[in-house]
Amino acid sequence: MNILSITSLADSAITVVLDNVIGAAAAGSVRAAKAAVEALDHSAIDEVTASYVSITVYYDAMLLSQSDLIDLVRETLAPITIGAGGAGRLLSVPCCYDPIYGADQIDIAETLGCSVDDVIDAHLNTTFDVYAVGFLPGLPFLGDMPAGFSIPRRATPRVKVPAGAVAIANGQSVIYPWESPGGWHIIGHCPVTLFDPTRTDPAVFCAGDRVKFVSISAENLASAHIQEVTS
Amino acid sequence: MSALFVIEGGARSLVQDTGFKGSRGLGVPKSGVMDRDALALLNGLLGNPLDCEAIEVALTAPVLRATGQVMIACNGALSGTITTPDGEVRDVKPWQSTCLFDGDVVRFTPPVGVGLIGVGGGIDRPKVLNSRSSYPRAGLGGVALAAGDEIATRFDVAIHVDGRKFADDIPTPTGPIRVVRGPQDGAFSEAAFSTLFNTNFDVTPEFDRMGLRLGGAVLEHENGADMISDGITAGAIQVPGSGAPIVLLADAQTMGGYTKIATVIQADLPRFAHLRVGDQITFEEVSVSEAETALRENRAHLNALIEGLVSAKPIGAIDVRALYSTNLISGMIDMTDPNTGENDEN
Repeated sequence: MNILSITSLADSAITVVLDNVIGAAAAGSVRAAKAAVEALDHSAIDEVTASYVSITVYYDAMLLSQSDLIDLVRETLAPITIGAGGAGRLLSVPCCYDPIYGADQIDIAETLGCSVDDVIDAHLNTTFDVYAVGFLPGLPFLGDMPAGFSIPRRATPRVKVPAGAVAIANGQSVIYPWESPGGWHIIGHCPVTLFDPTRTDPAVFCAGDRVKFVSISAENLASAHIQEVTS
Repeated sequence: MSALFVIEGGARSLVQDTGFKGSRGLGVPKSGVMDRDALALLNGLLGNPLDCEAIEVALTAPVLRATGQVMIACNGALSGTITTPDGEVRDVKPWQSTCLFDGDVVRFTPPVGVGLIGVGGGIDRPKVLNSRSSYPRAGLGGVALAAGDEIATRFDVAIHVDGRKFADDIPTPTGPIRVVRGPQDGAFSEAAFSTLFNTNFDVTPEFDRMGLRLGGAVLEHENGADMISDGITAGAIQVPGSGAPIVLLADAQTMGGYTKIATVIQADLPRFAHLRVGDQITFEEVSVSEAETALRENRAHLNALIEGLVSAKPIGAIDVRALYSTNLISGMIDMTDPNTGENDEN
């Protein structure tokens, strides 16, 4: 695997940059690299996180020097090929596209010059990669929307986006786990609790997962749930 | 087990330890105490594991009443007084352990910076993400202490009725705060680094557990502030488009899209817990290996302090409270109060 750069967050962590363009290829490299470093199960490595084009390795400098950590990461990633470890989990995620949950559907369609159904179909027909989880606890950044369905963020962010809002912007999609301010365009609603601190795994998504939305009606919100799709 | 009853919660009193484990991948900050050194020192004083949870307080401290005997200790940001059920008053000094007896009420002065109160035997809270830290924004761990809460301890520690203190003084670090360049040092001009290392930056009021915005100078980007989001740690100095640097702290978000010019070394991170609005700070560049050496020296120094504990009983003075609770006269005390005199170390 090709490493573009390794940079320091002082004596706390290193960031390993694997690509310079956001996309499925970068996501594949990131997923494989994260899995390989995690598989070391090294006592000095506290956590490995993934973002769009990089992984960050948090370590205990009392147990391992950074130069040794960098050597270890280089050795570990050298033989790794993109796609190693296979694709991530494929999760089927319910989304209600009823207009009462899609406040920005009409604006999106007007901006893109297509119909609301075109936008919803594009969202439904995409198998998204979870590029990263962050900004808010449990919030997945999903890419990419098909070409032609990229729209800049709202000029004025909303003060309140409801929990569960499914939104798109900049060729990506997100699901808001919490009510929060937000500038993405809302197209639907996912009724599943995405982050629950009382669960053993508080967050539903992790970087490297794949997501396919499934359309549900407003009547079926209560019974909807996220399922892992096995092939 | 003994306990502390919360009479007043204080403005923002949160249970924190060294932070959540494996949380960043979920989008959850590491959290934990702002001052890890103080946590280790207080736990050392109390006989707790050095990473045991404590109560971090800001602006105003809680008022607590002991049920049974409870050892407590506070950092240099706090001091306080104890009022016994009989109305007697005695002092709580920073950096020494103090034994609270049943019914004692402890009040602290408002903290200067971030206050930390350690409790002998820890605080009985469920673990979340392998930690007893609190991140109320996401409902992780506890919420801030409130009147009526009861803080139960979760294990026994030795009771030292005279309290214990460090043989050596706790130093107050001064001088520049040390940083390592990067991770996005390439995004900044040499002029930006010159500014970073030669400016007295102001501590602005935009200062909380997430981060501190610095005033006094702006740092120039070569090609704009935005980048593809990457991982963040406490200590990273991110520079948004305005050029005003922000030092990210314990509750920093887990990833960010602003370039980071430099990162504060771990040995110097606790200093941010003790800054006040209007203070000035400077930065100095070190290498990663210098940062690692500083961390090892810091830990060795903490361990040496903790190994050098002595009794806090003033030499030549008679502590009446301690006298009443020694075995010498405990038979007499036991007649009136069966709880007094138990668990004495003597």
